[in-house]
Amino acid sequence: MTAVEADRWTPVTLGTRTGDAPGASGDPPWFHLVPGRRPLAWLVGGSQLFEMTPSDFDRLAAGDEAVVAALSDAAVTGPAWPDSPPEPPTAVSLALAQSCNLSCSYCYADAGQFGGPARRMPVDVARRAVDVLVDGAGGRRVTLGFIGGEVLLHREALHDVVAYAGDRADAAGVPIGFSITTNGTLVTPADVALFRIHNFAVTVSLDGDHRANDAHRRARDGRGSFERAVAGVAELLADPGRAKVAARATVTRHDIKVHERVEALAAVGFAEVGVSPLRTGPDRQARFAPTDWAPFLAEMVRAADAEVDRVGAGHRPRFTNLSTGLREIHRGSARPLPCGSTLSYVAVGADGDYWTCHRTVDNPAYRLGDLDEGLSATARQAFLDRRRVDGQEPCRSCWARYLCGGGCHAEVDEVGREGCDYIRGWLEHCISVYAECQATRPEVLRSMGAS
Amino acid sequence: MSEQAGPFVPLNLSARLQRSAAGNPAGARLASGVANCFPGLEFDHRNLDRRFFPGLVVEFADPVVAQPSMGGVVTAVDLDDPVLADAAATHPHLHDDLTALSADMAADNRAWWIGRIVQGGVVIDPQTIHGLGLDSLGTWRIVRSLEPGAVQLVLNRFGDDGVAAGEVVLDGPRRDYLAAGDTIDAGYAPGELTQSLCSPWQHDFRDCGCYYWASNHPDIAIEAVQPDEEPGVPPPPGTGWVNWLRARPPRDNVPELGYYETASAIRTSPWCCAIGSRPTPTDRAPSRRPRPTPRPTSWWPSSAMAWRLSSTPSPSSTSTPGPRYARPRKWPPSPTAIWLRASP
Repeated sequence: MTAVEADRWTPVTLGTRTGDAPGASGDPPWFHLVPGRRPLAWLVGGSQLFEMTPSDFDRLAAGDEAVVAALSDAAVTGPAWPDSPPEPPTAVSLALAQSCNLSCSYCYADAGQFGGPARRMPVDVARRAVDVLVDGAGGRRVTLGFIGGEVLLHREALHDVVAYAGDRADAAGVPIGFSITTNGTLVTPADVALFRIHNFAVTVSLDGDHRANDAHRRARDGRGSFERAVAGVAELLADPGRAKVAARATVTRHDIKVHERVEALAAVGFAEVGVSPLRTGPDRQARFAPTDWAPFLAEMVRAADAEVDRVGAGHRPRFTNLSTGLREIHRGSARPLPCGSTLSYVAVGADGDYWTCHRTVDNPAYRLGDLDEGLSATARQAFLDRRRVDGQEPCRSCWARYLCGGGCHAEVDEVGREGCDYIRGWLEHCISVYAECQATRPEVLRSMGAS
Repeated sequence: MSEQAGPFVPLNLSARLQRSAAGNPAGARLASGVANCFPGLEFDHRNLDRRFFPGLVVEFADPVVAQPSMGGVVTAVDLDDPVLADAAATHPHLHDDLTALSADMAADNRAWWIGRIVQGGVVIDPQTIHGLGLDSLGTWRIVRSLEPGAVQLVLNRFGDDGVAAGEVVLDGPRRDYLAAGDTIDAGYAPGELTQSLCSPWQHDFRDCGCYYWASNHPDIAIEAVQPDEEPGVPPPPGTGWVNWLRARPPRDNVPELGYYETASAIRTSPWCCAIGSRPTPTDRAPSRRPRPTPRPTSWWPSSAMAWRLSSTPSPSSTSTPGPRYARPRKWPPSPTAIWLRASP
């Protein structure tokens, strides 16, 4: 493993149950040491975090059998892999509009059209998808998402389907939530009212300030989208009602700054901001290259440290990459998959086909059936079995496998796993921040929901 | 030899879930207890002091065994007491003296009582103090006042005529009670400290007479959901607070006893330890000597307990029927009284 050299984080992956080096015996590592002022051990199977004395840390690093045995007393096995077919999904996204008014250079959906002609989902198709979702809920809470393209290009369908789904869920006694991802440029007061009334989780794609955003997020005529997007969401940001509004920024290799993006979007009025590095998409020049990950980690760490200081000073958390990481570490989340794709979540394309997620719409390799024939249990199971972290390398040999889950399916299939060291480094930083804040700044964890 | 590992401090929730702490929770320790005296919250203090002198077991709590009129009675000699071994360096004759006492008790059932207590030049004789003598709780009060360090204990035995018939002098340390880390030392057997507490599951709490309750023994519970319960009828199913064992109609599935019935039943019920025959925990060491069952004595000190008798027998008369006790006095009258120092 190549360690990311970033300030005080020097990843050290050690140990298997037999005390051999990782890979030598075939056993995956079951603990991971995080050096620092507070020596830590992360127990992989149950995502358990322990602090120890520097002496024990050194002895663990040296493979001292007594210390390894003592630590193993607390270890548990990894998350179980279900041996029964997956239940019906509880989340579905509808590609109401496989088209977009923007033409962002890096869009994985290729200007929202997923490589094909621009299409809109007929309302009856959307309603049938809602019927299947609600009928399969079995009393569980369901989520209906809208991701395009730009969904608001098919506004009538959106409003119709939301009303229909609300009534349908109420009649069935099924709790339902709604989410939407939009570029913000087409939001109308009627849309704002819809988001407020139905408790929407609204994700607005914006990359930062005017310059950072318009470098890639432009209309088809070449104009930047920042001003229109900000104007579009201004009313919603000023009074979100019961909606929860967040910004999601894509970071390209041309500008890997993170803190500045968070600051700029917070200045616009977003209470929550998350960032994601660009790994795939048509603009190869903007994608992250192998040499970009280490400096990007440093940028993430810089943004996280600034966030800790902010929250410690009494401000509300806003950098969701950090708060989400801390909450997952606090809970000890351990999962064999990176997301709910195919297991609890599927996407429905404009033509009524099921896909593993919103990113794989119209890619035959990810088709799971359609509304007529239903979701294919065989296809779902086969897809999941191939992607569980315990069944594939390099995930199986990675200490962070149950925190990471193996990475985005669509991205990994397209470009591999070049960013693993970054992911490990970021998780290590979050672990260190969690331990340090628990000891010295518990108010930070409380504010982020991680205590 | 490898140095011991740990502790590993669990930080996140999943780590805390897996942690198995050794020993009792912190709230069960003396240092964190809200200990009171009669009969105590987390434990009965009188049971702590029954081993105040290493190697001896002295009964203060049981009103029949200890006989309230007589002061503290030695119920056993415990030669396996670990503190006894520790005391050998400072009191080399103690073990031999206790061995002889143990042999004597095995051969002669007449009880040994606490006589003089000497510490730091202060001599207290619980049997003659104030000209009346002290009962078991009064004697316990004196024992409570002992400080750590050397103490001389004089045990007395009496003949049937009430005249002293023997004396044993023991020199040893007062027990420290706590081992390292604020834990009760290993001389106490499991259950020994709580054996005289009122306990809901033993049904004896109605006769407690002390009006407070062990903090970890609630007598209020949430009622069970009845199979035929109608939802929506207030209170909602399973949320109503009920006094334990005091079910009310229409769910009167447990008969509610009156005070007199309860007080009577508690003496005979199989689910309540019969007073006077409560077993001493003996699971610590196989060689532990069973506690002798004290034999009611016909000796009766004339002045000590006359005020406790419900009739007024002739103290010196051997024809007096067995003593009839009034209800034992609650002692001490207030929790603070127990901390009063004995004065010469």
